[in-house]
Amino acid sequence: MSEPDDWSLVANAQNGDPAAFAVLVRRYQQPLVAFCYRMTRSFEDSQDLAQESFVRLHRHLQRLEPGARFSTVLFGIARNLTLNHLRDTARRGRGKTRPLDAAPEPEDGAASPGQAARQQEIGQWIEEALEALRPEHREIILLREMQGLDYEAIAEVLGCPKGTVRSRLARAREQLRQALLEMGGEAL
Amino acid sequence: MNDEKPEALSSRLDGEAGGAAIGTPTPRDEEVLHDYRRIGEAIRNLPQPEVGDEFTWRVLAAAAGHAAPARRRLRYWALPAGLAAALLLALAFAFQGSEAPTGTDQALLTTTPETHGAGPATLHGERPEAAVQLAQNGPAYLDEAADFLAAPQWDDDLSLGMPEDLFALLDSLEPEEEAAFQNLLLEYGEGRLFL
Repeated sequence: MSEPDDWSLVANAQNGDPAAFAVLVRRYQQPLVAFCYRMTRSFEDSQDLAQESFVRLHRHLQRLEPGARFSTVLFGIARNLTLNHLRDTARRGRGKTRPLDAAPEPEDGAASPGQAARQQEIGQWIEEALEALRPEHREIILLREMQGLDYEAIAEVLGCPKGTVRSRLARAREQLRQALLEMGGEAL
Repeated sequence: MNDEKPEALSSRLDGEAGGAAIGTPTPRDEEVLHDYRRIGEAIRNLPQPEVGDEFTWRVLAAAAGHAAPARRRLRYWALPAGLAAALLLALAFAFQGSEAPTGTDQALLTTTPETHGAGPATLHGERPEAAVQLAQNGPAYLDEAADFLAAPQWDDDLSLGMPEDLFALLDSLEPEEEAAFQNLLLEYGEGRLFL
């Protein structure tokens, strides 16, 4: 039996089926926390932001109508809350949020020790380069590369025209590339 | 590379319209595409934080109202509550026939409802000053403050996170102005709707 699609679950949740909302939470909690984590670099903050995104979605459940992709609605909320958080943090002079907790361990893979070490090195460069990006560039590259959203979906999440997505994503990529080259990543 | 080249390369990488603009890629283009591709792979390979059932239950409990909201309360999350409550209060004032603003005060309102939501550019102009003046003038001017804040596009967005326009407004204020503005919002709203 195939999994029910997102909007069917929303409809069931609107009709008072809490299990349907639970399925939506389980379906999206991992990518949502991952997105918030890469934006904030704090696991605790990312959990809070993802939780609040789901809570706000639940609060507005009856107003949701099939149209836009469900994921863009959810990521749109998370994106707003995350930007709020980043700006709030900056305005309070806390600087960038640093992870208070240990970074998650990389998953075991089939890579050789040499490949794994190289991958880890590139990963560290990417982490640093991502953090150096402005939030609007960081979010767009995460939505594209990590969440796999196409330009239309990204435009829905960000509330901007597709042309803006196109240009902003290109700038983000080029900035990342330049940053990595400066860090010594010639052999990407 | 000229300015259009990175956009065309980036679009080509994603299979989106505009990618064909570069025609046949040069060796240099291929090199850049290769780098973009590897960057994407590296991002996808970054370690992911794991969340499990504990997180799920926490979310469901919070959504059902059986648990406190997120551990940390974000300062600006209170503002949408303030804005919404200010609007409600403004309606109450309107029904009671509150004092109308003076001509000088009215002149501060440089925007009309039709221009609300025009975007951050307008917010960096006179509108923050108008809002601050209204905030400082007190409750009698709340209906005007509510008008100012009642941008149609914000209506749905407010409870889903602070719209960028409002941050643009806050960013444009001097510290004491920002404090006055926030006091207005928080005084009439915090805790009433969302918290």
